[in-house]
Amino acid sequence: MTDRALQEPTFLILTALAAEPQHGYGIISDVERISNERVHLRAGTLYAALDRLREEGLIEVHREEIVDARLRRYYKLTNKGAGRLAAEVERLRRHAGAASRRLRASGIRAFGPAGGAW
Amino acid sequence: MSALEARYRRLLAIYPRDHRAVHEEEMLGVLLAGAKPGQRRPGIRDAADLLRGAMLIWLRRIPSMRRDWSDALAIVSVLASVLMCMGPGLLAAGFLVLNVIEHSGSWNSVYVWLGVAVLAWPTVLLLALVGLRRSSVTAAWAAALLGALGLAQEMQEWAGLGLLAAVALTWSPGPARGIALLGRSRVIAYLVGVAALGAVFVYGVSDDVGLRPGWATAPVAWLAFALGSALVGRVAFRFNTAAAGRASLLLALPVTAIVLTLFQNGDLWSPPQGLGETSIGAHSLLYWINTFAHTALPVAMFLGFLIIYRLARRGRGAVPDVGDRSEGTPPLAPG
Repeated sequence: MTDRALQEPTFLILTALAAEPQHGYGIISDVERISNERVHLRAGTLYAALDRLREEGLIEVHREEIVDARLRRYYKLTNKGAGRLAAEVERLRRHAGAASRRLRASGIRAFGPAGGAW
Repeated sequence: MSALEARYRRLLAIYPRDHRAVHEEEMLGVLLAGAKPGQRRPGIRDAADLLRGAMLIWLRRIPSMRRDWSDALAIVSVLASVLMCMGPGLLAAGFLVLNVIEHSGSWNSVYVWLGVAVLAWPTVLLLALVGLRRSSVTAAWAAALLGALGLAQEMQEWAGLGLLAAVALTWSPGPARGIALLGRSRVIAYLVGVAALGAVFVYGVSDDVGLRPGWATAPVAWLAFALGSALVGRVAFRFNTAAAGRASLLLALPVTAIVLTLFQNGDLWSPPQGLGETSIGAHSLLYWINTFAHTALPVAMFLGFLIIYRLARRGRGAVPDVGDRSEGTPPLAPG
């Protein structure tokens, strides 16, 4: 289970919560920022993910607030969640490192947004 | 409430009840925070995303729902089997005594059938509790079919409960699991309580300790009996799990059918026929059996299961998210 790669929305939600405890809409905004506006989470996806992450013990409820007569529940990363995110970061770093070394060694010229880097 | 909020609420209604109890307000907050000024309808993408999210959450619930139902059937398997011993089993014993008296001891083949009917459900329970699962299931179906074919109309009324018991024994972990879920002392307390109430009830409707029916006092006896059953049910079954609620709902269906039949036949407020009125006059033991097993027991069970179902539902309302699931999700509490 822990060996399986995290899906991108899950990865981004955990990354958002790694900064500080956040409520639902805060997570959505933060994920947009982290992903350069590329990933826009919607409520259905977000709460299905939060439900699952809480069941797996990767996140937990931090506190509840009432703002404008509406409940806001803040979620935070657990130690287990931090460990899972760190493992995923390590896995992505390994893959990214391998890909970039091979690209450099191949001498094939890369085009596209990241192409200018080499 | 704005039109947009009302529409979002309608969409959120497709989520599981416990999920809604915890997350509905929070999700509404997120949906409304993301809405454009003046927006009146949910966007098609948001709506599709909510449907998809609800489906994911329902799918994740399937294992625990299956466990709740299999636990409910385990509880049904023990209670329904015990009831079949106490209801039609006892009636068969009464008919056996009646036949022996009427035929003054001479051999009659109906003795065999009545003997089988007396022993059928105790045998099923015994086989199940000593771990002979396949034998107990086979015996249960044989006993259920025997009950449905019916040696007497009074016993035939219990056919539905017999079939439910056989189904529960076949498709559940069995009575041992049911007893473990309820607690053995609670099961015993409940059955003893119901039997004691039944005895008091029979005494209450009898003029002369069970010799002739004194139906003038019946309404008082019924009321006392109903209140007593409710009390015993409340005290004995102080659990409020989803499985117990489902079990009581399943059990209430055939028991309600029995009570309705009694109502239709007028057996609830007239002197009992059958065993009560024998060719040798009203015999106190037979009269007792008839009033208890034919009339009092189904009514007590009917009331008892209704109360348990209510308690179970109220209990689940108070612990909305995870209280009724034995494993998996950690409690949702701040901090």
